Amino acid sequence: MLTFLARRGIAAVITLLVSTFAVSMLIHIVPGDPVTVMMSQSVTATPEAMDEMRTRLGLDLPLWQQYLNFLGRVVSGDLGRTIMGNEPVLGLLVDRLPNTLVLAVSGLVVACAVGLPLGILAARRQGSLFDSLVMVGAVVGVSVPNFWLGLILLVFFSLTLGWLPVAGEGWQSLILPAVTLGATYSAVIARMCRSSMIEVLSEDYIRTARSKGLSQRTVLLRHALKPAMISVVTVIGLIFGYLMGGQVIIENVFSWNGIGRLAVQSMLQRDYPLIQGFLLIFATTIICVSIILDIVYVFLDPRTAHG
Amino acid sequence: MTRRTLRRLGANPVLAIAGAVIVCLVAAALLAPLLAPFDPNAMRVGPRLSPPGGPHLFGTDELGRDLFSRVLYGARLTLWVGAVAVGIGLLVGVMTGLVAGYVTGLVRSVLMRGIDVLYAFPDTLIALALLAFLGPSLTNAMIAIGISVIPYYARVTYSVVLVERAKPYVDACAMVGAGGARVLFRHILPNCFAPLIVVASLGFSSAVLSAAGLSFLGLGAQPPAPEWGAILANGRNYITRAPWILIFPGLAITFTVLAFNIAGDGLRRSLDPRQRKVT
Repeated sequence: MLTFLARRGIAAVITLLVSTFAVSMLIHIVPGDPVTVMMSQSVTATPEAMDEMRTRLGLDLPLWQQYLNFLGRVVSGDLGRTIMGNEPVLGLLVDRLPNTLVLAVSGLVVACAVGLPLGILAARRQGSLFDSLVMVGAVVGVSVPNFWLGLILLVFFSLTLGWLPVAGEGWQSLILPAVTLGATYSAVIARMCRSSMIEVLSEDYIRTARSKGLSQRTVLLRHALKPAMISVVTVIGLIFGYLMGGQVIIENVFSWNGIGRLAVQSMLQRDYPLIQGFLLIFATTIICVSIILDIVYVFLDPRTAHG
Repeated sequence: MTRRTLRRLGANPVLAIAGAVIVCLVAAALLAPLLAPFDPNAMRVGPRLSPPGGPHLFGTDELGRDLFSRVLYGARLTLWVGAVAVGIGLLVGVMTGLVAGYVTGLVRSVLMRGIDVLYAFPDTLIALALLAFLGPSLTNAMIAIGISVIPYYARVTYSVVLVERAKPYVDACAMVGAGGARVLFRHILPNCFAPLIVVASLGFSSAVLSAAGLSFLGLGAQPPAPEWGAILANGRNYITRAPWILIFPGLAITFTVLAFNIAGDGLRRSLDPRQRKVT
């Protein structure tokens, strides 16, 4: 187990180093001079101010030194300051993080609450009308653009019926974005859960369990569910990582003050330090989620640690 | 694809409908100048925000532009985005997968570790990262989406090449004097087509969704381009006064993505015997 964790830890550190390198170098793919592009919206874009910005961002240094400086600052928790408001990037992102976390967890709870039971029941009644309906619903669910679904729900429940607020921070304003996210991801979870359950249900030990006279319910919940959950947990973990990176579009549709909305604003304003900060937070979250997933696998299937 | 596979595909009615939707979409895109009753970008003073009906089948927007014509021309942009993004992913991904699967040593390690690192992140993150620095435009969005999906094609190709190169026919080819490139492109590559068609079909729908999302955020197509996501972003400002600006482009995206998703699923079932047993 320790060797397994150490191996995964090293892989994660390498991925993190490669990501920080990529994020620090992305500024060089800006067509033209990044400082000119960045300061094009600023009224104080004198040549002196631009030179100062170039020095501040370290763009006048050799590439390897730029990377080492960037890495040094990241390790010490300094992600730089924004171009627009001259505020610390880390502080801004940390301020918005709880909002994104609340939205991500709510979306995931809705997705699991709907997707898991539907997937399990569809697998149990494979080939039935219910199964077909779930599968059709799942394909439609992943095909509808969630920002469009969000807008339609907003028009119907907030603007027409007046049941829910259009925007805000309270729990009522959380319902629509959570349902919108839940609708898309419950489709993904239901599909994965169904196919994984069907595969497990065709195993020999399930036949043995049935021939012992165990009830369908016991076979399903006690014997089939845990092994079937391995691939489902992967999907749930990946979805959570993705949601934590800030549901950029949904946060914009519902004016939710999370890091995704901040990220889009920074992209439209070409605030490069803020974009880099967002990308780093997103990448780190994804890497952490993948480590947690690996540990969860070991509990679900101890063979993983030796594999 | 064998004749049996084609027969199996034809026997599936849902798949046939999805195919018909795709054909209609391609026809709409190609014939847009003939089918569209108005210039998609022509502004008119009279019929602003007029509801669907009369000469304007889908209604008009705040500048009096005919929404039906805009949605029709939008099909061109959508298919173009999907094709370019999938094209970039296929070209770079397949080349990477072929080389990494066939050679050994340092080249393979570097290529596949690079692909693994890219694979560890959601394609949206990669596309957003690239787009943030390349700058907002539809062309940049296509490039960014294309690059973000390279790992999928590379991994599929790589796994097929690993299986194929261990088969006796590869040794036989080498024995009769075929060079590495010939073996790779003439004999191994055709075996990758079946799984790649499935990934490309599903990849097409996700590229369309991503491009619409990016344009909706203002990071993709810029006004006055009649891109479906961009029309939705604009329609948001008239959400109560003219909900039809939201409805039609949204339905167009949904049907397009749905058709390619169903086509991809159907192809997977027909081409992959294991999938046929499971689902």
